[in-house]
Amino acid sequence: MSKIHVGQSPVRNEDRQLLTGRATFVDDVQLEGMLHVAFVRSDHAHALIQGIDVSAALARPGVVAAITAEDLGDYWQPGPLLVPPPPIDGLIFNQASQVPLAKDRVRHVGEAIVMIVAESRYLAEDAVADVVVDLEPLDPVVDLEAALAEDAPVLHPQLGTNLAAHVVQRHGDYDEAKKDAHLVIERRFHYDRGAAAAMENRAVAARWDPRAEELTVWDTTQAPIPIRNGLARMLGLLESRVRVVAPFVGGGFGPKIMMFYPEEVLVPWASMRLGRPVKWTEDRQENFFATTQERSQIHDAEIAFAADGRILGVRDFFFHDTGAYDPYGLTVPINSQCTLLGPYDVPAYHSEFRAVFTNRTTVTPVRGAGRQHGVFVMERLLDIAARELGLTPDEIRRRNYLRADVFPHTFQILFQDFAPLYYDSGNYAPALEAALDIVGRETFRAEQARLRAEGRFIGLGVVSYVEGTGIGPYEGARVTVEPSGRVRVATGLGTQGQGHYTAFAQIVAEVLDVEVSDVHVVTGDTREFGWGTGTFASRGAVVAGSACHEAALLVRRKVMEVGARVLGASPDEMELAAGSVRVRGDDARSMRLGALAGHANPLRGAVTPGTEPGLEATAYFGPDHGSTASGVHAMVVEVDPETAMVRIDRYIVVHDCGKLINPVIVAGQVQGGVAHGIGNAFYEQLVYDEGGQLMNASFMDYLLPTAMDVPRVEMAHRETAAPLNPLGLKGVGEAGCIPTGAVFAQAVEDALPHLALEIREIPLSPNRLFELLRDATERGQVTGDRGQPATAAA
Amino acid sequence: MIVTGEHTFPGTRQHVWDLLQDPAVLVKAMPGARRLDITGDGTYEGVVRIGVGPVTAAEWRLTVELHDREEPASYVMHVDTKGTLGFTRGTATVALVEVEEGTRMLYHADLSVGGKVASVGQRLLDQVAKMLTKQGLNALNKEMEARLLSNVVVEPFDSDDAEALDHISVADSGIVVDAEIEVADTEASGDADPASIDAAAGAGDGSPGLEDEAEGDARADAGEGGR
Repeated sequence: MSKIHVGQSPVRNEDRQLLTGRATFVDDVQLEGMLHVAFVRSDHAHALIQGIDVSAALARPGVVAAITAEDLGDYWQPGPLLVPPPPIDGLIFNQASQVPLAKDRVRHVGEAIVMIVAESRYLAEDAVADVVVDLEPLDPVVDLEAALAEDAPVLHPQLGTNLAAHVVQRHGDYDEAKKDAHLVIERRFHYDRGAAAAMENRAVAARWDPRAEELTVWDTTQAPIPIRNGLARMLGLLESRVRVVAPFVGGGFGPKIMMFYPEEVLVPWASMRLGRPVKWTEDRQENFFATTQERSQIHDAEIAFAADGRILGVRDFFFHDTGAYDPYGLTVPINSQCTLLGPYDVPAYHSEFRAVFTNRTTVTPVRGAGRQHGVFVMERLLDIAARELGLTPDEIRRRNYLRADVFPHTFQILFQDFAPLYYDSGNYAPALEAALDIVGRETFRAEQARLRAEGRFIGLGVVSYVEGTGIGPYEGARVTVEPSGRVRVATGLGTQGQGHYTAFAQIVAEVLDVEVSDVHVVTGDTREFGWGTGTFASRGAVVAGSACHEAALLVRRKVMEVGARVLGASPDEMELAAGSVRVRGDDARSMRLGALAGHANPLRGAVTPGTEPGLEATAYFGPDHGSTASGVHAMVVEVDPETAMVRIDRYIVVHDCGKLINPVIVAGQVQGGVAHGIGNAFYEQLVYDEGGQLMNASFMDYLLPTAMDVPRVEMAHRETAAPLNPLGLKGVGEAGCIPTGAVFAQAVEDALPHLALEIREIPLSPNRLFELLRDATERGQVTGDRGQPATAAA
Repeated sequence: MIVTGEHTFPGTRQHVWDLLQDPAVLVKAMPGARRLDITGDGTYEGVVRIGVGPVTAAEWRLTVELHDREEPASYVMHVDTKGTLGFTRGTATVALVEVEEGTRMLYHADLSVGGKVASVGQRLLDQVAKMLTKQGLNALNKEMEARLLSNVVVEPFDSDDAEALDHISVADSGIVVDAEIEVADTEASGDADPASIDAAAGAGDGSPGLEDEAEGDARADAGEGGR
């Protein structure tokens, strides 16, 4: 009987290396003769380049090169469009992707203008100070609405407009639906920029071997295979002559799936030109400008209800800030469009957005990738409506959930995988009840009343969401039983801390009945495995994990066939047993898998066409649709109305991510996601002034939550098995941070019902909350007590 | 960033006007100034060395252009500084008004700041600007007082004016003391007696203390802020 590994939490395969400091990160790569890179970056948000003088920099001893856009010649070209827009009727998309070095014009603070290559990073930075760039400042554009005005300065003159895209998606007929409405709520919502702030910044190292004519690139990318393919094309090399390695990476979170960053494209080129290895490591200051960010959107949303609180339809117009360039297409705003619908039955939906170029760092997906915006808008509209209708927040949601028997459910709008939005499975109402049970509905309300009598204010928020995960196109895996008996798994996916070395090993170990520690996983090296896309959109475990499973099944069949042949039985008499294969019921006729591998690779005899040597198989997995994960978050906060400080007392997550491969790893993802979400909700905000200057480009002023700010998450899992992959898996990497802003707003409002707050913006810093509290208190004093909203026991 | 305020100097509007246009005075009075030269009519170029809080001091190239000059009442300054730490650009208006105590200078500057100093030193910029302005004004004030005490009458350079040339050549070698002005200034400065005026007259150019301002980096540190 095979030992069960999936669903267990064994000691992780990668931990010893990581915890003893022996894991290789890109900056650990040290090669003989290595040169180091620093960049001259723009101080202005929008300016014309009138001249660049590198003579003083070149005169500095130890400086090997000072490269400008001119020096790149034909190699200078805008990056590729990474995600073409989906085939939506009437879609307008204006492409303008990033360039390796600014030529003629800079479009955001921090844009790279000159690449300095020197014997050390210190020398390179000193040389950066020597370069004189003559910039003629232009008026910057940072306000989303002002950017579309007639007289606004235009970032990309060849487009003649700052409109990056205009997209309308419809499901049903909102105008019709609105006619029967008992209640219509209309509000404007703001969701501002934040950074991913991974612990490890970006880095690229490259070595060109002129004898072997091979290029090796170490890169902190979440997509080594596409980078390999792109670099090969740009540099005119065979794909097989380029090896991209994403070693251990200290957190990805999205910005590292952005591809063909200037540095990624320039460092390999420089190593070929200069004939020496070259490395660039980003420092934290650079990260605030040179690595992509996310979040700024403004929504004007309207929702129509029947008298019993059921949604008749939603209409949402929004602006999306794409920053200075739009290489990642429309993934983020389309996620916002689709995720707004949530787990609810929305018969009519009109969603329309304008993506706008601004003189700020480029926007590409960051954990959540636009989903949190949609969730914030929908959850806030429901809360506001609940108040008007005299319903509790949980009751209005209960009345609108999609019922468990309607799956699979399709909306007639397109999702980021180019297919109509498809919910493969789900069962939402029980998750809400489970969350409320964990909170303790009766005891909470009693506690709230008791504390209020003492002059203390606690509040509860409960929100719901769905998340499309595990989308294609595909990933692959190759499983090999080696003569030692240990099993090797290679997949093209990269790993940035998700525990793939263990999770994939568990999947394969269970199929082949070996120990998890005997399965060695290799990821992120294009020489090991050359077909795949990358780690993003909560798809790693689902898509690559499924490929590992399929490949392991193929190897298992080979083991049975070869074992049968060697041990003189038929394949269906064979069984696996703890690293061996044997004839069922006859312990004497058994063989260790390693020894069997030797037999499968004969030194004499024949291997006929149609069979393969060894115990090895490769398989690919590409689902038609993603798997729909869902969940409910609940939060208990205490608010001090005088200081506007908010303490998060409890955080509950009830998450349905299908079958769990490794519960501890899942818990880690949820806890980390919640920390990320709490940061986005209350502390983290990238503050730009009207000149496009980022005013808090350091952790002194960009506030990441600390261990004091994030409670331990109380988690409950529900498993609605995903029908579209063999293990029933769904993604979980982003779930923790998607609804956090919405639940935070609801909880704070619930703590102070006498102020009748309406929180319509995120993040909500203590300063801003203070202002809202003060305004609400003044309003209350002018108009008298606004009374309590419905406080029926939750 | 807006920097606005006023300061009352002793002396007439003309005195203050001349003081404010003199690069030799400005380079000593401006905190962190290393060099300031006139490059044309109403244009100046120079180098200052300034840090802000956690941003270590570095050099900035400074260009100033004066416009709309209405001597001795008002002028407009276009300021442009550039360095490895970023840039500052903007316009300042200066107005001089005769008051009983002397001349009140009203200033209003609207500056855009960018680069490292803006992204890392943002919280301190306002306070630092105020401090630097105050330091500069105090230094100018001392210089103004010293000038009045020593009766140095610095005529604006006018190549058509032969008399002016004479003044300047005499001034090179010593101090011009005009008996009438001496009396007037004695009254204005209160209890200064002729003996001390002579002593001050022999003290040379500028006031004591301004030398200190020019030494070292102007490190305007309004205190580290925490979370």
